[in-house]
Amino acid sequence: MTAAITTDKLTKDYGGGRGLFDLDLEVAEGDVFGYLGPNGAGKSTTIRLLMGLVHATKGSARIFGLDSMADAVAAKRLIGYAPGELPQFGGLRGAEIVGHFAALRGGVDKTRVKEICERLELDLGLKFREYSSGNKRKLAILLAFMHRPRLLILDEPSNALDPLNQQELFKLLREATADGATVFLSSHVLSEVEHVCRRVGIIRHGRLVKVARLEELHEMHVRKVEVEFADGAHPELFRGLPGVEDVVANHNRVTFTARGSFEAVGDALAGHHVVNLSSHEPSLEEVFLTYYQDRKPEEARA
Amino acid sequence: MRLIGWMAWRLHRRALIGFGAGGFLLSFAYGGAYNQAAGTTDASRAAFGRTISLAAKQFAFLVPIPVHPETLGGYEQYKWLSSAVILFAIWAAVAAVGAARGDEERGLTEQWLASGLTRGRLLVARTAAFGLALLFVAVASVLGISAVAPLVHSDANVGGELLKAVSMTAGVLAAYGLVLLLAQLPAERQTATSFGVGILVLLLIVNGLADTIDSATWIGAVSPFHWMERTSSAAPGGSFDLLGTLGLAVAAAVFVAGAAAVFQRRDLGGGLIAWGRRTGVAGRVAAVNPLLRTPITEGLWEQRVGLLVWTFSTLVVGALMVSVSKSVSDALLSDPRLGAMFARAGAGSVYATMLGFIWFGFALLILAGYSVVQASRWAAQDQEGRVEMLLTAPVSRTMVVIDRAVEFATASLLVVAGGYVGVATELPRSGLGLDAGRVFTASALMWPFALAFGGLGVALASRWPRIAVPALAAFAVAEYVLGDLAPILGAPGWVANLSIFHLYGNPVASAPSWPPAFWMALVFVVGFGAALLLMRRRDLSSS
Repeated sequence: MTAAITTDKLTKDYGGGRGLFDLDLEVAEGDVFGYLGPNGAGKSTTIRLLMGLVHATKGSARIFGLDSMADAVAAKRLIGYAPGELPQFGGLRGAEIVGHFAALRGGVDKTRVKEICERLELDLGLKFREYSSGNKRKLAILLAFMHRPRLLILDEPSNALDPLNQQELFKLLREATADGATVFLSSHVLSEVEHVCRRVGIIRHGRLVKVARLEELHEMHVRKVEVEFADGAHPELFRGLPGVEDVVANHNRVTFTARGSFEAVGDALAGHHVVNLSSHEPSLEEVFLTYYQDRKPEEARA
Repeated sequence: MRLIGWMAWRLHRRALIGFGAGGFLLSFAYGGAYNQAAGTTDASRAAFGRTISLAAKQFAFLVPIPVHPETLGGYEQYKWLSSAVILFAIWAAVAAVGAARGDEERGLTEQWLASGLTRGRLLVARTAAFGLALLFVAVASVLGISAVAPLVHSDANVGGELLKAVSMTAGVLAAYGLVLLLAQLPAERQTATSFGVGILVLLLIVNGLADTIDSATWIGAVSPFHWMERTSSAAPGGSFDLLGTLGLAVAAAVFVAGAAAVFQRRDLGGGLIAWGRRTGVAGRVAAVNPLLRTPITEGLWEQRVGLLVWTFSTLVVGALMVSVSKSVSDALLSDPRLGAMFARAGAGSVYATMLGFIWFGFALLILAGYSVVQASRWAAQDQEGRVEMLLTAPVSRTMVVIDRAVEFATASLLVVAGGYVGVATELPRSGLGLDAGRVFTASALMWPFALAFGGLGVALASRWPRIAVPALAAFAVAEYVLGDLAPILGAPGWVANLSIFHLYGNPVASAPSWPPAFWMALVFVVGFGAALLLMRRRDLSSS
């Protein structure tokens, strides 16, 4: 079976170390691939290269076997794309924008448009400039999903959406993948990727440093934990536990980082009077700081 | 003050450099033309001045009455500074719409207001920044006259020239304030641009009517062009209208205050005039408007209001120009010297020569201006990411360029047709007795003229959208000046023909010649071909 996305040493060098370098990536048809990286890592450059918007300095990108630049038109018939930010459509109404892009694509079912609008509570009667940032995001999602594409390329799709609409977006993604669509989702939010993706690639400084299944990602999933005891701190409970690092005691409180399963920490707390326990998911940047701060990309990949 | 200085440089630097350098150089060029046309002796210059004064009185509708045109300063004031004021006014309109609407669309206004700047202070700072840039450009444009003076054996008049620059700055700043106020009313930038440019053209026509019709002199008081003309200090012996200049400055302040008051009342991203919202079930389906189905017709649909304004304005101005052609011609022919001069200059009838000058020459400027506006639209679409979004659909880069070229060809044909309808409607009543077929041919030849500029605009916007507008505008000015000066300076025919204005010639007066049309169409084809290549090779990035 032809892969949905294949890149071979794909490079876009903007100079000064900026850009994307030697990206070798394969996303199989039907896969749901999360593309993670901090701001400026090269996620958008990768998407621009896949969409044929910028020329590669070297290497190639293929969409279902079609060259992303030479066969751009044929490739984009298969793609539904939601950019990080929609352009200014000024005085055009939502319905006019959708009508225009639907006509360019052809084969868009009006009932599908209506269904997505109702699910996302998007009013196409308003002018673009009257839309809030959340509504602009919904419009971008509609433009990506309305023609039931074989490949969805989504750039931080849940940005600016409220929790209810985020859930609706995740449902739409699950339905699309159930129908056999492939998803390439760029994000810097781990939880967004965890909701829908099966595989994840992590990019940093323009280089792909890790490709892993979601389960493997959980292994590197770090939480910051703070435990407050009623009877003084007990840091010794946590030292030496698998995945636990940086244990610090302060009065009645103990803070530490926990990677992977939380089971051992739970067992250690049994029998102790715990007044408060908090755990928060670090941002992806913090994960990177934890895992890659002092490593070169090659080392991290290794 | 730092903010104003930063804005003046950062937001107007291209216009500042382009207009400043261009203005200074054009002063030199017209100085050379003066020397060539007026001669170097006092007697020849006096005779030249008399002829110019006599002819200019009949063209008061288009150009101001010259003051001491026998002098370098007087000649430059009449030939160059009167055109410069119009150019600066167009710049003011574009800058004001950009300040009122463009900044908002790009999110800059939101950022500035979020940083604690009040709406009023923001507009004042934007106006002051434009005023600073304008003053620099105006001073550069007038000081070129003194700089060229020794080379053409004339006296420098630095003080008078600087006073003229002050008057021009006050007048153009008033125009800027007016457009800034009008741009608060609609919510769309395109509508605001049409409003702004439209009102300035109207004020220019009002000034022309005030200069032409004795009983209507009073209406000139509403036009900043009228008050700017009252200062003629760039000519030795000319006058500086202190009260008029102060009045212009006060008007600018009042307009900006009005704009700030309206800005205070309206929502960010909205206009004072709110059109009805459409909501509900009807808004939950894709629009079925057939014009939205292809990029070409979608573009025409989107700019329908502006296109109608351009077409209708050209129609009205065309009819108006034809209606005044005979009286202007007769007045000129009543002077034996000018009658003889026109008889020598025109291969056909004097009326045809005059109509070619009054209408067709003016229409070429309208079409060049229209091309620049279109290039501005393409550049904005590119920078706002619309081209990028279009290319995420199954649309090729080639199609984007074809779309622009066909859209421009169609739209410019409509504007040309509007002008023809206006002329053809008025022609039978005008008493000019011209051949209708030749008028039609001359009108039709304006289309390849427009296409030539459009082709260059397409090429520039396809590769360098950020500089497309100033580059095309500078090219249009250079072409106009070349066409104007080449015959005066006695340049070879091929040099003059490098100007598309000169290439068009005066086909209503002389037998239509098709090679110019071929060359103009060739410029379009080359521009279009270059656009195809450039668009294919470039990287698209809206951010």
